Amino acid sequence: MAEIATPFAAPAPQTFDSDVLRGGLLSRLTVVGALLRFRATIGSDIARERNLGDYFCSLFLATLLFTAGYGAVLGMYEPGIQILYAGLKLPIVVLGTAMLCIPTFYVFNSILGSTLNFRQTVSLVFLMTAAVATILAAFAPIAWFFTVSAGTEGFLIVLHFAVFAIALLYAERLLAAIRDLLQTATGGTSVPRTFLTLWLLLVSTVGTQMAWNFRPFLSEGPFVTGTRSLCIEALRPGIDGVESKQ
Amino acid sequence: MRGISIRSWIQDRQARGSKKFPEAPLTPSRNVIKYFVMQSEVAIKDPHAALFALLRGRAAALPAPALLLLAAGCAAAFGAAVGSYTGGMQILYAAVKMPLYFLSTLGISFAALHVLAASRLPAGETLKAASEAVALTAAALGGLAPVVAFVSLSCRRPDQASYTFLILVLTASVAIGGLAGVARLHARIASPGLTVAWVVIYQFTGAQMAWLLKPWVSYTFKADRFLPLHENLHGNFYESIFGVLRSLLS
Repeated sequence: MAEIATPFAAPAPQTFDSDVLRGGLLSRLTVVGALLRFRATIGSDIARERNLGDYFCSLFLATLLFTAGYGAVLGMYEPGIQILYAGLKLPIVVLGTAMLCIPTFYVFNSILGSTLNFRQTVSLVFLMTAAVATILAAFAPIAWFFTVSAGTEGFLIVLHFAVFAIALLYAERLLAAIRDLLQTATGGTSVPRTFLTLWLLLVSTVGTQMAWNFRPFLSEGPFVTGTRSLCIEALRPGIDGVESKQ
Repeated sequence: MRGISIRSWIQDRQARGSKKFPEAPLTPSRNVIKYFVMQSEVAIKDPHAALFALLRGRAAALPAPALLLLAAGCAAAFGAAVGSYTGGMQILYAAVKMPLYFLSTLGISFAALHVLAASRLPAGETLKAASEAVALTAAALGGLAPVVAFVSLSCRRPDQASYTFLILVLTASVAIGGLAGVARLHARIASPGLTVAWVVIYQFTGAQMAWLLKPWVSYTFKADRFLPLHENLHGNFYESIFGVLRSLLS
């Protein structure tokens, strides 16, 4: 009798070699596994500037795919064209926020005495977006379940905010761990801890504003409303989030 | 990262038989523009390496003109971000005026800065230290420029509350940039008294320079004035503050 292969019987790989990332689309996504399990390898690769270009492509791709997926879940509240719109808008928000905040990170980190160069800095920033995107992807089934079953708009907003908060906290922990690894590997300062927290606060503020600029995600509406306003105005009474009061 | 000295450049030209540079030595004062262009060569050829050295506190290898050129470039980026709220020509106006603001403030206050520092530093070193502080301030502002531009483009227009908020954001950015510059200056000249004196002098001149070069954001929400000197020459920054205080008390 032919032996039936047991699922998950093969032992999980114990090491990660970033040369794998060159393989192709699916091999590029192995960076997510590395991000979850082999932080030490990522840390030493960044410290030695090994395969940074491949890391960048892979992290960018993972962020793009996962945020697009979560965006599509957001759009499922009003099925139709909104699934496509939200699926396109969320990657723009996440990647756009990261790119806007890279110069601030690089300049101030350098002033504060970091030894990281620009390529290493960019890798760290996209490591953050990939970590956020990974958590979003992990929570996407739960978000989808609530969206299609019992979600009112208010409840879903709170749910999505909570998921994003968890994602950011996870990214902060990941970056802090990588920072410690870099610190040990290079012997110099990589990223001052307080600065990292402050920068992530800036990222979340810019990200919230960027998401506000690309509203609506849940309810049906145009791709962009075209009105300029600050996200703090959402707290003002009388603004429904789509048409702003002049 | 080695700066080429004017003397070696001239010797090189003479060795090649150039008739433009006969035996009589050239003085930097007669060739000040050529001198500046040559000394800023590093910043033109490899701006990233020069910026890298500036940010990491290894600017000692950079000549002052290169630092000033870096300052101008970064300040222009921040200026463009400031002008992006009004948009259109105001982006260009502010991008031209911001480097002008930093460099002319330094130019006007340099003599006073040097007099105070003369007992410890020669003029060349004073210029380098001051240029480094100004360049680092401008670089920090350049780093904030994308975020500032994004906030500017998100702010409602025309709207007084958004305008006020934007001014707050700009003030905070300038304060952060200024802090970075002052910290570097302090590390460089290692004298708290001198640092304070320099900051006071530079700020005293700078506030009036900013007043003279306004509008930056343009409260009319139109890019209709590049440099309304006839308007700005009436009164000054300090008188206007005094006027505001007096109107509060009366």
